[in-house]
Amino acid sequence: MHDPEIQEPAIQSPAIQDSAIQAVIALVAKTLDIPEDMLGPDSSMLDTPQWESAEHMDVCLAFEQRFGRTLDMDAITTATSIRALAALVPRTAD
Amino acid sequence: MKALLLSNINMQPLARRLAPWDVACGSYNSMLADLATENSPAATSDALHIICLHDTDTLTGEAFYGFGPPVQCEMLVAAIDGFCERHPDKVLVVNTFCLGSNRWLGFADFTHESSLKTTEAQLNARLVGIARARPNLLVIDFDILFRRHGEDALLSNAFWYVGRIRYTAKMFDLLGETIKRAIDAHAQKTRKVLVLDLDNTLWGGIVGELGPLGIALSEDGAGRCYRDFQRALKAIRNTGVLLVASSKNNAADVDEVFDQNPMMILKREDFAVIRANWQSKAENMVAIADQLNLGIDSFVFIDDNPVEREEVAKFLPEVAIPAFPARPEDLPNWFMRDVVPVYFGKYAITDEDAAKTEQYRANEARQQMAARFDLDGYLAELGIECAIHVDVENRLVRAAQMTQKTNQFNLTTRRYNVTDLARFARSPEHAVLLLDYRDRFGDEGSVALAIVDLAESRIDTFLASCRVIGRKVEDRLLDKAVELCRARGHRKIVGEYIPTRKNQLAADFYEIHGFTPSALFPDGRKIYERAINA
Repeated sequence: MHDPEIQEPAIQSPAIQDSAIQAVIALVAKTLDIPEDMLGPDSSMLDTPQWESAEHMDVCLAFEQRFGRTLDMDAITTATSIRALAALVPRTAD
Repeated sequence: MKALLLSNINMQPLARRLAPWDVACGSYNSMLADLATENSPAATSDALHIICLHDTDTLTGEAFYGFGPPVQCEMLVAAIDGFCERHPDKVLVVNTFCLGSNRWLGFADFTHESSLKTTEAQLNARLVGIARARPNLLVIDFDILFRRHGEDALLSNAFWYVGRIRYTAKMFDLLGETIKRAIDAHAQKTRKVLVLDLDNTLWGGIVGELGPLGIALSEDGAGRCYRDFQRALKAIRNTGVLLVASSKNNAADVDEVFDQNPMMILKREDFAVIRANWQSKAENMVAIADQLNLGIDSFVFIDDNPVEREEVAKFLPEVAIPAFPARPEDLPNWFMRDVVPVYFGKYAITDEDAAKTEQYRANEARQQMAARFDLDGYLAELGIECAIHVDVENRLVRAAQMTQKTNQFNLTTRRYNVTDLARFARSPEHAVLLLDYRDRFGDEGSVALAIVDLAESRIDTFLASCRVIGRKVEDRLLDKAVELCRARGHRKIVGEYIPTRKNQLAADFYEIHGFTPSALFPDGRKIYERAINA
């Protein structure tokens, strides 16, 4: 059954994905209190020292608030990169 | 400000929201041990505020499902009481017991012997008892947050099972704001005066056009919005907020409303000042501040007209000016939710608070009498009676309030909270002197305060309410401070004046009272001495 909470990133158009990635970079940088240029589309918890598990909870809380979308347990535990989070950003009308 | 955050769940997201405070988090689920043991970080760190927010569902444990009593909840109550008693110099911030709405007993939960509702109420009743006895305990009512915003918006199941985080970002934001406001309220950093427009603010319509009985003010329809707003205003007036009416109107038209409209909840005597004229609001506000002898930065201004609000904001940026709701039906709720807690949130109400408006009105009568007499004749006519109390523990809330709010006749402007004053009062090396005043116009309550370091024969704090300046009560308080130092065998007493933007009124106090300057510092601070030989 389709889970309405999780969107497939492949469906997003490249333009939306870019804007979503930029929005997620801004949100993660602000939450971790680091400059945005320390993060890129391929950044993740693995290669960002400030993005530890406790901070990831902050990132996910901020994501819910910023994008008005409730994350489920699976999304919280697996969306640990900029791209994975951007894939969860609700799409707006073009 | 340094604070330590304790909990039985993961509350780390709150720490960031308490910026710019320096907030450290206790170890996960170490809350009970931190409060109960003597060598814990809560007891030994230099953090003055210990913020201990528990999750009641978790703390209730198996008792949540009816298996035994809520032992850990009982332990928390005892730990809170013990911590406050052992650490009067620290402020402990806790939340009420607040269970979620899940009830395995269903409708029977209301009456069953294992009722969660009853358990919660009993635990909170004990918390109330402790808070009344311990001025360093600050309780935040979680129920208010959940009633207003709802569990679905504030609780997160996913974060709970993934990371032991019970709340959503919205709840953490609300908690951050609420804790900051509560600590400000506990330290009595609140505004004092509410200036109200009249037409379309206190009642619907324009009295100059509709007449005193034509304005919207009724028990039904739109008029009910304004009447309920007036009820709320009357309620906060009774907590010590001074109400002032400032309206561009003919004074006679406003008088007719007070005299003739039976639907007015607020009466003339509920206002400290009523000004109806055609001057600008900013000019009126300056005159009102002068009349009340209060700083303009203690004012909040409510007016439906954005042009008036903008004018006051431009000329008097210190005045707080909340945006006015677009619809009259939102007026009462807007006031109680967005104005009262933000600007007038109180943590304790003293007897003086409840009588504040009467005191300011009595002052007007005294000023009228003063105009007819010479000073000595005037003072004799007043029939002044003063009583000076030393180290009265049950009056420390009022004493702290005075150090926080008195700006003009305040020699050193040192701000102290209740726990600071409790420390002074219990120390044999200090004396806290509180002067109560009454005269034939009424009882003003505590109006002057001194904190004296008896070991050094030094006056740390000396202040008096501007309501009584000119009536020589400060002389009596100084005499008492001298008497206490002399009794300790000292031969001189030291005073200090620290200039601020507002306390010029007190600059010459020590010189007038026979002190001589002994040191002058580059920042303007002066030290004075006076011989006090027998």
